[in-house]
Amino acid sequence: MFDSNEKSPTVGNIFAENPKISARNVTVYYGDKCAIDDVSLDIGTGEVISFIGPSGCGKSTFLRCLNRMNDTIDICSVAGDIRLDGEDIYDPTIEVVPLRARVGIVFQKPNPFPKSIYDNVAYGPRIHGLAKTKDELDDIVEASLRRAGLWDEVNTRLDQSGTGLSGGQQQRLCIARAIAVSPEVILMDEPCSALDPIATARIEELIFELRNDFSIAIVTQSMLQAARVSDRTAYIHLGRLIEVGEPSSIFTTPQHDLTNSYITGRFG
Amino acid sequence: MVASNHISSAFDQDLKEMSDKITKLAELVQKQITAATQSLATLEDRGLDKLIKRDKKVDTLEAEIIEQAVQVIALRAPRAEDLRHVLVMQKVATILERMGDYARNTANRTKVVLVDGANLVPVSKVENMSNLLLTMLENALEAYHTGNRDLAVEVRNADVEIDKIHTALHKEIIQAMSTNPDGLVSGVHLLFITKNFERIGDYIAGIAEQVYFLTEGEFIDNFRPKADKTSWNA
Ligand SMILES: Nc1ncnc2c1ncn2[C@@H]1O[C@H](COP(=O)(O)OP(=O)(O)OP(=O)(O)O)[C@@H](O)[C@H]1O
Ligand SMILES: [Mg+2]
Repeated sequence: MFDSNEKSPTVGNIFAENPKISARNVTVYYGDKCAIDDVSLDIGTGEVISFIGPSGCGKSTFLRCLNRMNDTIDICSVAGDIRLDGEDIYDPTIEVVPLRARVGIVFQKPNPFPKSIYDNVAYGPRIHGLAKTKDELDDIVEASLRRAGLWDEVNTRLDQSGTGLSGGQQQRLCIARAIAVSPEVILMDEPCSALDPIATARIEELIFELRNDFSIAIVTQSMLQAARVSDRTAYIHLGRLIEVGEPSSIFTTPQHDLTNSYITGRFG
Repeated sequence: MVASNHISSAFDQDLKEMSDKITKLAELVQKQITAATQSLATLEDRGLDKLIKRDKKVDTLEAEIIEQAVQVIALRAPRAEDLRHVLVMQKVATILERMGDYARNTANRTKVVLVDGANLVPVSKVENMSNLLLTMLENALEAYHTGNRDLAVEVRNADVEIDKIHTALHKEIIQAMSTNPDGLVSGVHLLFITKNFERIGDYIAGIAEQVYFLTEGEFIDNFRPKADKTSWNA
């Protein structure tokens, strides 16, 4: 076992065969507080990667680096190199709006716009000009709602407000909204934390269906969920990427003391 | 190797209870093997019926451990070393219960041998075999309790000695039977008794393999030295 006291490099394979995103030496500060400490990791094309770790370890912070959501936080500074298809996403010439269409995000708390169900999903395709006609837009909305497993529940009330849906439906609406712009990567920050087991199972099934078309990075507090949905699981501790590997090995034979303590529920 | 230091102290408690039961079961099985051997070695009934009755206790303890394993898996979803530990305790309980069955069977057969009265082979040789088994079992249990991988491998490889003893005794008994027709009944039972002991050796090696899995997280390679030749030259 690797010793928990020294600052060891990440255990396991940080590389992906066919990387969609390559993060190298990413370090994030909020003011003078370090939240992510020298993390390097690839996210493969078509890969589902999950992030686990204690509260406050930096999972959301790392996720938000991947589509520059941290830009919206004044005191947040990001160093290192993050590439999407080999292109530096922090390059000054990169525009964040199209970047966020390519790398979509679904938050822990569903945040539908105070608009109709239809407009929630149509919003992205409209601003990115993805539909030429109303029919095309209708098709995108229907297809997205179907993929998110919500169509059957809402197709008779598309004009009603998205905020009037249940929590689980709102979350699926946000997922429909994210996939409506055909992103290449979907970031999900604890998408199921407020959902019941059935709604959770639906979202996991959705992730399973989306896995080949998108790269998915998901933060989850549920180790079972991480084990079920992901190709690789990454364990973060105090801003450091401690270990990454297939769930079948991370959850049976973790190599690092810190990973072991966390997944077996011990004092670390 | 009692897992501890969980944030949930109730989980620690569950694992400790299971582990304590394994200790109890192991001690009981040791007692059963010892008792069966004593009657055979002295050619005197030293409480064989009591031994046979005690086998129920072995069965009950095994059932309790398995039930508790199911509970722990269902309620606590153990992971990594904890999951292995629960699986291993369940498996070891089953192995110990089987060993108990062989001790009971040996007691039943010993009763016949005592009635029959034929003294075919020096029973001290069977006693030696049993003593070696008890040492192996002691070591296997120590390896389990201390998580000692090397000792586990040693125990597993020591089973080859039991095989050799069994092969030699097997020959000797058959030889004695062929020259002493009055001893046929005892001879047949002694053959089964030594076979029981040979099987107990395999089971102890099985416990050692579980310890290896527990500490290493993978199964020991399947090659195990074997020297039981009784089915070739019988
Ligand atoms: N906007 C912010 N301003 C200042 N500090 C922040 C901000 N967001 C996060 N932090 C700090 O950065 C660290 C990492 O936070 P982050 O939200 O990334 O953790 P997390 O792993 O997602 O935790 P949780 O599981 O609770 O969501 C924490 O110490 C947190 O207090
Ligand atoms: Mg978070």
